[in-house]
Amino acid sequence: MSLEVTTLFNRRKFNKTNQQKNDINNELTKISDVRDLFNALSLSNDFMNHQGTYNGVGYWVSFYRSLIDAQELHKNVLSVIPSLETINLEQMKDSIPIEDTLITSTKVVIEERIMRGAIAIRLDSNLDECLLINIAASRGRQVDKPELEFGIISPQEAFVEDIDINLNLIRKRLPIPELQVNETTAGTLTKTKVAVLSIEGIVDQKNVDTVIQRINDVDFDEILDGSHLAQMLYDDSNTLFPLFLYTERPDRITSALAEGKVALIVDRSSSVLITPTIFLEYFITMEDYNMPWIPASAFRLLRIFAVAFSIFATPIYVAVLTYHYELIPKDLLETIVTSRNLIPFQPLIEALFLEISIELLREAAARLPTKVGQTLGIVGGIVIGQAAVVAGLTSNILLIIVALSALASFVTPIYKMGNAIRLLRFPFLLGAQVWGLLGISILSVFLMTHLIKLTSMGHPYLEPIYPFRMKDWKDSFVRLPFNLFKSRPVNLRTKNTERQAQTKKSPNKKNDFNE
Amino acid sequence: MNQAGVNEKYKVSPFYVFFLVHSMQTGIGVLSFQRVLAKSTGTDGWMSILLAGLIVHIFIWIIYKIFSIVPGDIITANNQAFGKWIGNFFSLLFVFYFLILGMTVMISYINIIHVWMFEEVGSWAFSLVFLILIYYINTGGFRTITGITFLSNILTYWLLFVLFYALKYSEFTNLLPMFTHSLLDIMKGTRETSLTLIGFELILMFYPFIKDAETSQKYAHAGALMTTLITVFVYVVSLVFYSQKQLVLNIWPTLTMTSIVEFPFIQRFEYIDISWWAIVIIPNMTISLWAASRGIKRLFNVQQKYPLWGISIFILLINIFVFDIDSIYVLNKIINPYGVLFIVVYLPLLLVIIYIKKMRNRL
Repeated sequence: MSLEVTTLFNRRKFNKTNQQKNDINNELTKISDVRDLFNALSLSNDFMNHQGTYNGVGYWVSFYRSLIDAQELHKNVLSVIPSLETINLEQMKDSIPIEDTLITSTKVVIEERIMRGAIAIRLDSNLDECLLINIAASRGRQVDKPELEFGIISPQEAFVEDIDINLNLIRKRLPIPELQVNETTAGTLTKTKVAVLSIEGIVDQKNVDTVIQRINDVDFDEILDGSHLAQMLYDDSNTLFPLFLYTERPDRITSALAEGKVALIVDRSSSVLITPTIFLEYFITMEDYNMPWIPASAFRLLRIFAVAFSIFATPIYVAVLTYHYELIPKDLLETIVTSRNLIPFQPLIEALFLEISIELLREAAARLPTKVGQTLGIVGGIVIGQAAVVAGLTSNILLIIVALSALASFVTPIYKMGNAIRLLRFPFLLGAQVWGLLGISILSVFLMTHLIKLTSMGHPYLEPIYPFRMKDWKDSFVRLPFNLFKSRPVNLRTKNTERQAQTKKSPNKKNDFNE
Repeated sequence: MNQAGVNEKYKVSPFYVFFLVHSMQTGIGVLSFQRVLAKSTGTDGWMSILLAGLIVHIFIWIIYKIFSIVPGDIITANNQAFGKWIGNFFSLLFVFYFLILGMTVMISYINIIHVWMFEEVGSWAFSLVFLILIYYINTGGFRTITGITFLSNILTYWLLFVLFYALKYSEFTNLLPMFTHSLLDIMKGTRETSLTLIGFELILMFYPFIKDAETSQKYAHAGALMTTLITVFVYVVSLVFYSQKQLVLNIWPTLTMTSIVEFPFIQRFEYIDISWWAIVIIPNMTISLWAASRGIKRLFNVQQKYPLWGISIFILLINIFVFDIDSIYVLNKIINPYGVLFIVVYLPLLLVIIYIKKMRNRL
């Protein structure tokens, strides 16, 4: 107590006049801080303080039991001590076969390192100086197959939760010094490591700065996952659509980086984020690039058609059967009427009943283990569907439409976009019930306006449709041949726009016919 | 005077002027212009349309000429030509004109919905939804308005091909006899068709929002040309599809034509046509009301949302209390002889005055 008072007194007295004294005082507070720190840490039962003596010199080894790799501690740290002549931190540092070591007496650094899995070695002679050795245990999954974005003819590697493994997966694909990693942390409690990746010389530096700026502005206690963080970085959080692409495929990240985008790896998150993104990007699979351009384009168009079908099919059924049955030719109308004539409900109730049961099935299947999930599919899909038709609650035709549109909403390669599509159907259903086809087209204008207004990191979301940019159509609804991929996407405003030498000739395809 | 104070990042590329002009011109008119035109000019109506198109081109030239001398919008030009008070008076007239234009489009479209689809739904309900949507689009700024105009254009061209189906039942001898009408009749027809080709004058308001606006003139002309050609096409198809007498009796010939379309899975195409037309009409109304509210914003230095609220509430009240078929005729009357006359007389006058002022300053 008296020491503190004198310190305060000293500080005030000499602050202006004696710089040297002031330094000593600072030193004094620092020293008492380090001791306090270890006392405070020892309050937790998994914090270990091991005392030992070697050649008459006492030393302390302190660490969190739960954070370190015990095997490494015994094999590489403690086993080194007997080989030393005298125990001394500098010497110890040199002889321990681990690179990530540091001698310091700064409280903040010591605390941070210990919390990340370092051990601290102190000598009895100077209990304020620590040798910090990082032997953090890395417990986690090994690199596995992608689950959400499975590809048949593309690499079968997916990101895992560990930031270093993920970085390694990307660096292996981009062995260039220009790949830059900016590390920062987010979350006041979780202190989650976030790495911002970009390729220097290609990326628009403004994008990188904005991303880092926004991460630093995040003030929230827990950041548990990438998409958790992403929502706080969105330009507009009142939207159904994902503005950052969330992927578990290293090849997708590589290709995004090469195009001049920014990637964000969040520690303990098994997916990596890409920004800025455009709407159409969410309908692209990496397989599109591994196939010849014609099938690739055809499948991409199929996916986009599926999305439109999935949003509009049921609402159109409701609109037509509620208001505009004149639209259906007589022969077809007969079929529909026969299948519907025992049903006591309006088309909307009928449609909502089926849509909601499919959503229930999907939600239940997502929460259940795979093996039970299969049973659920059979019970839900076949039994309930068939029974609903036999019981006269829904018509066969609607069952087909709803099942098809559910199927169609699964083709989006990015799960979150699938979610958005799945929810979009419901406002359209209500619109169809209120004003028929007119309601659908008014809601479509709403949707279009919303998409036009959206931006991802300040870049328009609906590009290249609006703003219309012909150059970027090569990789949008269709995927044109690679020899047309001459420039990077215009909307990213990359420093280096050239993807391949402009002068490169296509291989000569001369034969007797051309002679 | 700065260029009506538009930040560079709110501007749109010059080629969108094509879509802005074209989309503003194509609206309600194209569904119903045939009847009045057939009454006055009959088989020679296409000449009236071409003549009207030519006049539109001349006026686009005049507008760009005005702005080449006075960069800015119509309010800057008015002030430049007539001073603050008289200039503001004319600017208010323009604001009023844009307001009436937007309202006419909305009420005419609601009338079509009433006649063809939902007789029983009150017009206030439709106008309420449209106004909310328009407000939502407006909050995105001019870029969003341009975007929705552009998308609505792109998404609507396929409706033209529906008309080819009508050609299946056409009688090309209906086009004859040609050149039977006097020049006076054709001029009269030109006046009748002006409601279809009107809308290009919105350039007066959005000119400062165009990047390198001087370069956009060719796009404005192209847009007007596109509208003229489409109108001629629709008229010719109507001529060969209907007989003269039928055409004179039909209020919405374009819609009636599409109702004969029949595929194995769909028939009575006009329902789709009318519903889809909402996508065409909404940008139309949005641009008009945007222009009106921006005019008030510029004149009285208020945020744009306040005049937009005021205008929306005004239109809603009109729809609640005085909506009937007659109000459409009143509105059409304001637009057709008076509004058109105002523009036709005022714009050349403005150009002349600005030109003289410029000359005098130089001397």
